[in-house]
Amino acid sequence: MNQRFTTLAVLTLALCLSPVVAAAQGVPGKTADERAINGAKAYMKAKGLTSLKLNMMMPSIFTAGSTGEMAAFEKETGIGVNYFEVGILQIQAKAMSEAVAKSGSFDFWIGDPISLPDLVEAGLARPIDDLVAKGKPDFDDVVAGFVEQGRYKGKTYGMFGDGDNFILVIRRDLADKPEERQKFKAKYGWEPGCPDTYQQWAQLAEFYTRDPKGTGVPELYGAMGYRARGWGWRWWLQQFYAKGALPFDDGLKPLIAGSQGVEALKDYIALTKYMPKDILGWATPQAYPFYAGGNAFSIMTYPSIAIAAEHPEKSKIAGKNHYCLVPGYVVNGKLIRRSLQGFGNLFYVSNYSKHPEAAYWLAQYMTSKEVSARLVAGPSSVWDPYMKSHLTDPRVIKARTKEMLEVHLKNAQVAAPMILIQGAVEYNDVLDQNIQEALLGKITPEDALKTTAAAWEKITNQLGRKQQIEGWKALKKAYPTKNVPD
Amino acid sequence: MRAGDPPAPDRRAVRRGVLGRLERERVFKWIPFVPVQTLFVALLLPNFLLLVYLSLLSWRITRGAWWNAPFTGLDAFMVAIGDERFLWALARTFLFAAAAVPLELGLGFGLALLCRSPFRGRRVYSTILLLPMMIVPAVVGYDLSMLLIDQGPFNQILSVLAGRAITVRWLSDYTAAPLAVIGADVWQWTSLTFLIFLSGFAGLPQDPIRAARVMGATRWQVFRYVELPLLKPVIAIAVVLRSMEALKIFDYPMLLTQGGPGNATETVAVYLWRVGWEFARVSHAAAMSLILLVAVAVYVFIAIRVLRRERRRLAAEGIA
Repeated sequence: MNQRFTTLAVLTLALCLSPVVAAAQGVPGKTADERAINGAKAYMKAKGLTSLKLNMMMPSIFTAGSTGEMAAFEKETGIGVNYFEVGILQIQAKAMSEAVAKSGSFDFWIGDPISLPDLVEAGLARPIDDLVAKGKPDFDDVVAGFVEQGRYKGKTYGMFGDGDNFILVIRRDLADKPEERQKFKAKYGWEPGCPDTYQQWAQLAEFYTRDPKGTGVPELYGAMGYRARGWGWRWWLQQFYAKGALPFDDGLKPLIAGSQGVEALKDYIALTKYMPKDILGWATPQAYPFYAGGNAFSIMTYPSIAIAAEHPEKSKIAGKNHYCLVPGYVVNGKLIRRSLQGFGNLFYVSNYSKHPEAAYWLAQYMTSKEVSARLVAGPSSVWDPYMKSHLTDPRVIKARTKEMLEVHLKNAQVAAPMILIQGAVEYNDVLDQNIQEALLGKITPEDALKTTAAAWEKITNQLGRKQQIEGWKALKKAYPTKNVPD
Repeated sequence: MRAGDPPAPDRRAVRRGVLGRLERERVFKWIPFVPVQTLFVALLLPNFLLLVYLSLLSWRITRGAWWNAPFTGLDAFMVAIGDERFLWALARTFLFAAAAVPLELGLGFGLALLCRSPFRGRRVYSTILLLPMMIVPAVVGYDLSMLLIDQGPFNQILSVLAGRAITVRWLSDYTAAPLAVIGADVWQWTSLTFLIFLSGFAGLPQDPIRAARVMGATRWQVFRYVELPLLKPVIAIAVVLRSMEALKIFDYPMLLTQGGPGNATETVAVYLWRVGWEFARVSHAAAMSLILLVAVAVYVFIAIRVLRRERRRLAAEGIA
């Protein structure tokens, strides 16, 4: 009797625990992409489906590099994608309208981390920790700090897929000319090369801006960075961070209007005079070809510049670039470098999707070591390296150069996030607007930042200070602790 | 009819009943509109009422469902009125419309004047002139964003014409960017005013024109004192239609400049979109859109009054 009771008890316990054990064991497969494929196949089998089309919202510049991999996933699993393209800065608004409509019009989407807090609070972004536990994605291989971009209030909502921390590129061929080096050293007292500080970058920019005919339209511009509406604030924020500063104190009082913010803004404005005059209207589609056309000495931008600059046919300066650590400021005798994680796309799964698990498997597939390497190395790709394994992958090295990869992943060690708390888009928009007004000379840098700080206070009060402080405390953990990379 | 039979129903009396009422023009003329208006009301009225209701709440998309949002009365309107950026966007939008609409009317009128009389190839020209309004505004915005960069084709053409390098920063200069947005609107929507005026010219009554000619009026006098007054209702319609559309301008500033540089091209539609869908402040956006609605309604009301007055005047003169 006792024996029978024990046997029955063991069997019952085993039955009860089997789903837990299965979940803990996860999906079979040696690699994350294999597990994604197996997980997707198991999902299709469990649902009795042979083919499935997921709807996806995607920034238009990402389609070229992604569709081939999605087609490969469909071939393996039967899960395909109907994607619709949206302008990269319009993703938040489209997602927000879906949060209201709750229509399930798309199952997943690619978007930046700025919108994450708002889209979580709006109920659109689905927490994926349960699926992460099952699929075991390659989070361990992701460079430190990047995974945090997809988390909010202790939960994972986004699969990180794009290492968008800024990099500085300068023209090696021009910087290496002996006669130019002599002239430069005589004038500024140091050998031209990768600058350590923003002051040094400004000196390079001044020296290499070439307008021999005095037309006001130089043959070579000394510097490039983004200054357009919707973009420019990110470049200022990076400089501000390099002052060793944070945007808020612990009570969420803005700290941007102090001397650090004003000095950073003055430097930002001063550097703009060495850039093309139309830079205030430019983003990636205009900036990359301009630099790759050999029209500028240096550019601070996203790492995908390497694809444009090293393109064997389209670039006039392939093999002539020097990839640099981002410059910084010397604060209290110590150099502080900060590379802003200036976009960084994530795969999000919608709470209103009928097939969230299927969407997740595709996201895991796309962000696995193997597939992400193919995406990053693609000829038209704007996916940027974000995994340690990308550093040694020959396909990525060929597309981006070894030097660029090493520098990029070093920059990642001092990568700082954008302001990623609820209302982030509004905080950043106000900052953006006032920085542009200062850049245009409509207001002083001091007034621009004071106005921004006042507007931030208003936003914080509207959203509720207590809740915002919680978000800020969580975000503070994502800021780098190192001043310079190892 | 025999004596004692009940009297036959009077047909005219029957007509005075339901059918009679229907036959009367005052009633009958409204009947065809009933289905359309019912559909219109059914589709728009609930949305409008919801908009009004939302404007009385304090709802953010990030703060749960709207039906749980607190009722705050006119607070959202006070926020809107106190929002300097909204007021600037409103003023800027009216300024854009004030610049774009007269240009569109002038150009459309001029082109219609050129195409009103038959000539060889008139149909081809008319078709070409109508093409811009058939293009999706977003496509126009995107194309122009590439044509208007400072070293782009537009400046290159200007340079050839001027015989010197022209590098106007159409998309990044505080003064030039609004001109680019206005220019995009004018380029696309002159087609519509051209079409309206062409129809207006085609529908002009010929008797007063002939009479004026018989009385020895010159071509200019016929145009100035006969045709132009007759066209006033058409002009008023074109003004109302284009103004209403111009006050909603969104695509060009969004695609050309993102509302920048600074806020130089941020129209009220762009700002409303930001407040509602980017900042998630739906109640504030609802209040702002109602303020905009009132502003546009006042404008249209005045325009319609002018239109009616002109019609009455023409009717009194026996011209129309």
